[in-house]
Amino acid sequence: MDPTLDAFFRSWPYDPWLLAGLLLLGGIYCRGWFILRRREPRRWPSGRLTAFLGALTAIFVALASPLEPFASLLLQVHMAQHLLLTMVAPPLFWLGQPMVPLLRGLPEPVRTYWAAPLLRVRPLRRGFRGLTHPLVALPVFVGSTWLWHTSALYEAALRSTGWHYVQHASFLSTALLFWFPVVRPYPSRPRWSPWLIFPYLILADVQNTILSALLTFSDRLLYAPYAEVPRISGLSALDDQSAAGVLMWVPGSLVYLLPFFVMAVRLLYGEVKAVQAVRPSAAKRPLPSLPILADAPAMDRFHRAGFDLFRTPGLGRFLRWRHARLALQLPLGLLAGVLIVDGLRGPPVAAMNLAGVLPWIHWRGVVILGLFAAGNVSCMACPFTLPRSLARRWFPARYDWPRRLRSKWLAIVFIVIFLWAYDAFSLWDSPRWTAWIALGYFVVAFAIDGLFQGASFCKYLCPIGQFNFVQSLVSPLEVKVRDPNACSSCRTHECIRGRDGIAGCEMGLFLPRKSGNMDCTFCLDCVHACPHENVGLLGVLPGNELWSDPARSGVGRFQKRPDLAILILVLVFGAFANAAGMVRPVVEWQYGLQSLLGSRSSLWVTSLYYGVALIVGPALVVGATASLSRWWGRLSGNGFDATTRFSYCLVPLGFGMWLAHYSFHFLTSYETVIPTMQRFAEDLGWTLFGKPQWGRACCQFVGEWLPRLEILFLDLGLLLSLYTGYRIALRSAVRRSRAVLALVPWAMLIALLFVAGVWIVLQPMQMRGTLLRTG
Amino acid sequence: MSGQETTLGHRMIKLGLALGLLMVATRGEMARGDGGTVRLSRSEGKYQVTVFTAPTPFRAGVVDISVLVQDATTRAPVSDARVTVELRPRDRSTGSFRHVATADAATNKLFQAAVFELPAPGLWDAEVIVEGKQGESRLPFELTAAARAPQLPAIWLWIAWPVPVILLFGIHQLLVGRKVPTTLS
Repeated sequence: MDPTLDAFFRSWPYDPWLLAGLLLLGGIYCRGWFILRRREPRRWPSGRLTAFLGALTAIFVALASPLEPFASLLLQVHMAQHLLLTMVAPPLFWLGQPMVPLLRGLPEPVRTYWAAPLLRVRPLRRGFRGLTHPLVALPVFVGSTWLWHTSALYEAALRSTGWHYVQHASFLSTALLFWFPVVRPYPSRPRWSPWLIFPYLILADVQNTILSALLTFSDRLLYAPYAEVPRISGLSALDDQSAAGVLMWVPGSLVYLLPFFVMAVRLLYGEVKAVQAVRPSAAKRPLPSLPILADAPAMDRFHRAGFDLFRTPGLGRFLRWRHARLALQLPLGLLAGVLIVDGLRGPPVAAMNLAGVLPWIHWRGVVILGLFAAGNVSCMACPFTLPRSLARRWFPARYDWPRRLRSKWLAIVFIVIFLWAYDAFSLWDSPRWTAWIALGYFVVAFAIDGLFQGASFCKYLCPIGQFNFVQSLVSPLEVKVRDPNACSSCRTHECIRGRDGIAGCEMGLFLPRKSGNMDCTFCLDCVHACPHENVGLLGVLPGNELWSDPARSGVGRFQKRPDLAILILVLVFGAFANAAGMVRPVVEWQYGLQSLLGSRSSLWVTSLYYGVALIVGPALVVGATASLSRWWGRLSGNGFDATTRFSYCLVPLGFGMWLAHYSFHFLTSYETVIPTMQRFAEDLGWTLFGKPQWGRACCQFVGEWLPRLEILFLDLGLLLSLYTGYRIALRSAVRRSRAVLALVPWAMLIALLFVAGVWIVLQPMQMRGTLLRTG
Repeated sequence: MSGQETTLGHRMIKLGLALGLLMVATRGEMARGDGGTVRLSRSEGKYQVTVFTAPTPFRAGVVDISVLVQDATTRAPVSDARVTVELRPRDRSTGSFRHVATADAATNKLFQAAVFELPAPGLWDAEVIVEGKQGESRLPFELTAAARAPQLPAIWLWIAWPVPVILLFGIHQLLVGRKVPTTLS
């Protein structure tokens, strides 16, 4: 094969966002099309699906195939790319009659609460109808085509990636407008005469001919960059320009004239109904009374149907297996044992020791990504509860956990101490300390669960558990009853009492009244205990639990739980304090303060930092915010009540910060486990893994995508936090206007935290737990 | 179409979509070594060599130097030549370094690209060394790198995209003007 051609076929650019967008759009359309076809197979033939997928393929070929990298070398390739965007993809898109399938394919909450109400808004519909009128669509399309073919704009698009994107977006969007009146996809009902389409297409063809002729017959090069690039096809730049003109001329004319003839035939041979315009009086009626645009049903409908992880092939079967949790805990327990041994006996350098690498880089990263993608997988696989059954065998566990301590206050104290100690004693840098902490965890869990009934350690003490409970409030999965009706007739309540040696919920969560992931360890005991197989791991709307506030079993109402609110505030501000404590400006500020105080130890400065960042600062800022919110929104109760109500809106942003921070360490340093494991094996005399590759014990070259990913996590947290705040405000205030005013101070706090998060992400961060490269 | 077939169809779509998005999400970002500004194009020995640099303007930070090697006579692309890019700071503030340009690093497989971190701004003496069956060619040239791009302008879109979303939401609430959905509470 010709080497140029060979290179062409191997040159596939990679644009993840385009690919993801097309896949998502295609998936939504296919889902909607399948549902509609089942009801009305005649209206939704497979040709519609083919046309729509053809449109997406044309966009993909135009922007993500070898055409893209070669477009800057050959004008004719660039022209082919533009023809796909303006003459192939848009008519195919509308031939797929995408409006109803896309709407139907959306998840039901999105469709009924977001898309359908918007589509019912008259000004928007009038605006769209105006834009797609032939007298508007034609000038817009022609104007865009001619404007982008002027030398200045075309060259700008060739020299700048940003302008190139704008050019493509402009071509595609105006062409979509242009082709809409030609195809008139269902359920549009244009008012204008169908005969108008003939001059419309002829005028479009005429302008295309003039522009093509200009390119074909011009004796000078219109776009200078093509004179600078190397010639790869044997054609001169001018010949290439002529070829591009011909390409625009011939296929372009065909594309305009084909629908011209098709419609002429249909009109002349009596298939008038297919293209007939509706009478003006009919067009003035509200656009289609499509059932799909009907009012929203009750929100609780969405909680019954939907995704159930237990019903997925493979993984679902594994999770339903009675010993699934044990199967996850045992390897982690083994790893914890290895970590303790290496931490106590291995080298004291964190990056060379499994205790310095596994918990602080890998385990934290996997936990937070697991919370983001699924739910509380950390507690599910927690090895610290492994000795519980052993403890129960030796000790009677006859005591109830003291009533006064049945709250999160003790756990809050432990979390504050842990966050402070992490920096004050550089726990991440001390394999020995890490090993002792892990060992201590086993001992305390063993002792508490041996003495007290239920899972008191998990519920009231474990800082890691509290972290997981709070962050899993925005997770997409929840242990939940499948059919509430089945529970209403159940009198035996095995889900909480247990049966046949299977424990019921030790966290005291009664499934029919359980709502959300708070205090749920995903132990799946209730799943195995329920004789009706009525407990699933269901998909839920992330964050829904933050703004709804039912009386939850074992937890109560969130707005009556100040301890939970304070726990959340500590974890939210802890996310920012913990990440900021590793960035260069804050570290330098701490050193500066230390030298100013004349202190040899950094303990005082670290203590001061965490005192301000975790206790004093949040108390002042949140207190002021709550007071303002209560005042402006005229909310009932005092400032502390407002704090308790609104603190839940900060959870998503705090989660975004933890996610950004921990995924940064995980994604930059995940390879550190390889040399560390090799070193551990070598110490044991095993040569199976080879010599430690210490070159892999540091940060990867990650490019620009990682800070973008981190900011994306913060963006998602920001949006969900603001929305949660809005919903809480609506619930708390008497009127919508008051609710908006009550939200303003919290929105300002959220925005402030978001800016702080972005600033942290953009700073150089200490690569803890790694061996820094020197060469 | 039967109900069972439809359910299977839905599952296949969901599975395909999930796998597709997973592939998109987990695949590493490829280097885009396919051009930028034409820095030089000349015949040297038996080769016609064209050098592209990106970003434009050329700055310290992650840079891309892409090289197209063609036969000087026939202009056919030469893909089996080894291409090396060598850079030396004019002020000798750091040592020189070399990077091998490869087709793997390029999006356009006609090119051989070296994507690397240029540590500092200033004047650099660059040299492209082409070693192939038709001999060796060296093409020295100068590169002036501006200061590293400030981070914010490069990523402002990533930071600011929630703003239009929030505005759209506000407009949605104004236009729709109806009670927001009640929840389980």
